[in-house]
This record gives sequence, C-alpha cells and structure tokens, in this order.
Amino acid sequence: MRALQALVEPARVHRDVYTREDIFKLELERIWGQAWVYVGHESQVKAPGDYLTTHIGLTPVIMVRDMNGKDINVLVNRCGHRGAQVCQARSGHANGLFKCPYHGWTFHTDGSLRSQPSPGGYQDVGFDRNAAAFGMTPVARTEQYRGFVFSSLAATGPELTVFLGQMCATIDNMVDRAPTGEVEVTGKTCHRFRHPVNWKFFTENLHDAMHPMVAHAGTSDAVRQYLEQLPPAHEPLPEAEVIAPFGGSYHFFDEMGFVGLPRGHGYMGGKTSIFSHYQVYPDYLQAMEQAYGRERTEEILSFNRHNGLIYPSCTIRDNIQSVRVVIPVSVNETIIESWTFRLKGAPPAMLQRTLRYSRLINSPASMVGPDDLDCYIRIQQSAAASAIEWIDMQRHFGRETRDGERQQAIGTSDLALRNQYTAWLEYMT
Amino acid sequence: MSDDNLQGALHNDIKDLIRLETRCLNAADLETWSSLFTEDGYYWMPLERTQTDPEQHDSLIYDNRALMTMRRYNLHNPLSPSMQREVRSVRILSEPDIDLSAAPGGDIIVRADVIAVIHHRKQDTFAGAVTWRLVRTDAGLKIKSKRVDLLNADAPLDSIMMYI
Ligand SMILES: [Fe+2]
Repeated sequence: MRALQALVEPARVHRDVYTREDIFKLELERIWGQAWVYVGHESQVKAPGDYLTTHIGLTPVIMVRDMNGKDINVLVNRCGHRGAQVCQARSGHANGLFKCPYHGWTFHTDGSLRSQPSPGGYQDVGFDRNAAAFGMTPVARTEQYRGFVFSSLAATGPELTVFLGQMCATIDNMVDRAPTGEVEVTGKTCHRFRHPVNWKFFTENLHDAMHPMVAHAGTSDAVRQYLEQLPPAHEPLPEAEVIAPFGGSYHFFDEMGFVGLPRGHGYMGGKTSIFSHYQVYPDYLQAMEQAYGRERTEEILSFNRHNGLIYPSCTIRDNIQSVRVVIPVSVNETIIESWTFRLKGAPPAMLQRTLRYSRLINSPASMVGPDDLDCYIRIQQSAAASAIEWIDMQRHFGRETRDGERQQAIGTSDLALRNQYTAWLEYMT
Repeated sequence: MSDDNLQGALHNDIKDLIRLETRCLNAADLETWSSLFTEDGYYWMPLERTQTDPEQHDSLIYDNRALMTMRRYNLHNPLSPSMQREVRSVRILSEPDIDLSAAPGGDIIVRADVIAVIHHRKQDTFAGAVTWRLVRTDAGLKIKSKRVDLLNADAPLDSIMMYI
C-alpha cells in the first residue's frame, strides 16, 4: 500500500484518499481529532440546560448551556458507567441534569458525575467519583467566536481565533449583516443530506468553479425556459435571483477569484460573488444604515465572499446566512447539514430569501445539490473500482500569487483543491 | 338532486381529483399535474410536523407554480447529471378523509397517508401524511395546497428526485 506522502502530489491526488478505510480512520484521528470542528451556535441553547446533539468526526457530543446560564459545554454524549449514549433527541432541555436511561447515573450540565442509584456499592471499592472518565467527559477544548461554537478533541494546538485566521472575517460579516449585530438559528431542525461518498468530495466542490455552468446547466436551462414563456415585462423572479448565478460564465467565476488560506481554509469572491446581483431591499438598507451609518453599511454589504470554508468541518455563506456542516460517517458516507440563520432586526424578506436559497440549493429535494452529489458518486465509484488512479488538480497550476499567508488565483484555478491537500498532508503526516 | 346526492357527487369529484393527481406523479407527467393546482397554489414538504409557516423555517420543498414548471423542465433534462437516470415512482394512498367544513370560505380539506417508492440510482421508500386544501372554481375543483409531512423529514435523506 502507498504511504501517505505518496498519495498527494503537488497537482494530483491518488484515488486511495477517497476509498481506503485505514486512511479514513487516520483522518478521524489526525484531522477531525485535531482541528477545531464546528459544533453549533449559541442561539440553539439559549436557556440553562438547553442542549443540541451532534458529532465531531464519529464522536457523539452534546452542546449544552451550563446551569450557570453563561458557559456552553460540549460533552461526549455517553455515560461514564457503561458507555451508553445518554441523549437521543436532536435537541432538548436537561432539567438541571442528564440521566443515563440504563442504570440511572446522573450528570451535571458540566459533565461531572452527580449521582448513582444505591451508591453504597461504590463505597470503599476504590471508585473515584471525581474522575473525568466517570462523567460525561467534556471534549478537550471548546471556544466560541461571536456565538459560533467550535470544539477540538485535542488538548493542545492553536487557539480558535488563530485557527480561523482570516475566516473570522466571514463570521464577522454574517453577524454584522444583522442590524442588531445578532444572528440566530431559525429552527430546531435542518436539512440533512446524506451523501453516500467520502467527505472530501463535498469540501472540494465548494470552490470548483469549473463545474456550475456544466453540472447545473439543466437547472439554469429550466429557469431560462420558464423565464422565456413569461410576458416581456414580468416582475423579477426571486427564484431566478438564486438559481441564475449558478449558470454563470467561466469569466464570471474567474473574476470572482479564489483565496486559499492556511489549514485548508479558503473562499471565493471578495468583491464579486454569486450574490453580487442580489436585490438590496430598501427597508433592510434603512435598518442597516440606522444601526451602522451609511459608510459602515456599505462596507458590510459589499463584503462578497462565497462558500467560506473552515476546513474541514463547515462552510459559511455569510451573504445568505447559511452554514453547512460536514459530518463524516464512514469512508464513503457523509452527512451534510444545512442550518439557516435569521438576521435579528432585519425585515422578514431577508429570512424568506435565506430559506428560499436553502430550499433551492441545499435541500436534498433541490435542483442543485442532487446534481453535485451525482457527480461525486460517479467519482467515488470510479475510485472504488480502480477505474482511475490519479485525480487531477493541475488547472492554472503554479499561476497563483502569494501575499503572506494568502494565496490568490483566478476563480477557475484548481488552487482550492491543492490548498486543501496541502493542509491534508500537514495534518496527516 | 337531494343534498345527499349532491354531497355524494362532490365526494366522487374530490376522490377523482386525488386519484388523478397521484396518477400524474406516478407517470411523471408534471405538466398535467401542475395544472391541477390553482395559479397561487403550492406544494409544501416541511421539515417539522408542527411547522405552520413555510416562511419562518426551512422546508424540503416549498414550490409555487413557477417552481413546479421549472422542475418540469428539469425533469429528465440530460444537462442535469442526476437526471440522466430515469426517475420512476409509484404512490399508494390510504382511503382519503374528506372534511367539507374544516376550513373557512368553503375550502375542502382532504387527508390521506401515502407510501411512495422512488427508483433513481436505487430504490427509496418514503412515507408520510398528506393534506390537500381544495377549492371550488369555475373550472372545477383545484388544489390550493398540498402538504406532505414525511415520517423522516428530520433524518438524513438521500436526494429526493420527485414530488411525493
Ligand atoms: Fe455545484
């Protein structure tokens, strides 16, 4: 079998990275077990005892608002006694404690052991009730950045803001787009799209600007056919506003550009993006100018990043207030969860557009996501069948420019892929 | 006709419409299917059973007539990678419950359970509860809205390639 270093070359990657079980296990340990992984947003656990369950890699975790009302704890979702998962619900409210349904051990919202039934059985037998392992162990590190909660399973490593680096600006911009400077998750559920493929196909597609005009041509064509049958002076179609940019030209995406950052992060756009031609609702503009003044409002609204990737766990579209979360399940299965956010203080039309975007692009029943997925499945099958050995990423190779830790290229460069594999190799070896 | 006969005839019309709607989806005939809706009609597949407003939270599908038409053009459009495979589907409905007095303004509420099997890359089974709101128009009965509450709307789902 090929060694890890031999799987990634500067401009191509070996199929094994998508298919080998042992590599997936190493990724869990060295990437998902090291990086800061997006867990949730503080608005999902407003009251003491509110919790949300999710995964960091394969590890089931609970994000819970501490009974002190201030802290947000991320605990491994398993009982310290025999290891049963404690919470089954996606979200809920722990009334001051978590209780394992098997033998009734209970835990405080900081994860420490609270009580055991008939505790005499543990007296004078050498049982250490304060040992973290007997609690619902908190994950090694949890930090928030402007309400976005990230955890790392590793005890050491860079702090969250260092890890995020210039991706902080993407989170800042999403929050700043709220006239009150606050965002909140819209509901208790989200789109959960099962991808029967390796997780990396999803992150690699985010800045693959050579695919929209081809893979989404059918959808753009459907919109065009519909528009053609409308009378010439029709109202602007909100659905077209969302879908049409996905049929943008090579030039459109080249102009947008791509910025690659350390640790695999990156984003498209900056000045122009898929959102450049979105209508600015007058009542929203007014609310923003009242809150921030004209100059600052212009600055916030002209920030035009698309698909900000915080490698490996999430991608943020600050302009449309959507966060997609990557949850690896196995070497060829991944769940993509899409959460939508409400800009507090913004008129309802803004949330309506966020929801429309998510239905039309992110939903498993959309006319965009299933086409991306279909292409990933085709590659996954070729790789598994050894029908292809090397996956190419040479486009505009070597033409990127470097400015400190930023690498920049025209939008249709494969720099995004190369940048992710540079990080992949750093994590893995 | 007596009142009983009138109501019997209305019940038959309602069941005919629901049967036709199911037949159109089974045949992937989205053109006829969407014509069964009013101009402002919509198809809604929420994420949460308790959801009352599609404009406050995410939905799997919330399609107006415009989107129904776009989906019709997209269906089996070879430019869409996922549509290069045929989408075949079949639905079985339970006997519909018809409520003529539930909604104000004379709208008719019909409920039934559905099991739908969609074959695309593989065969997927969906099940749920359907609620139609029907209206009487000059052109006969029309669907004002169809709501489908999937049993597993909040679970990880594969691509859903056809209305249920
Ligand atoms: Fe795409």
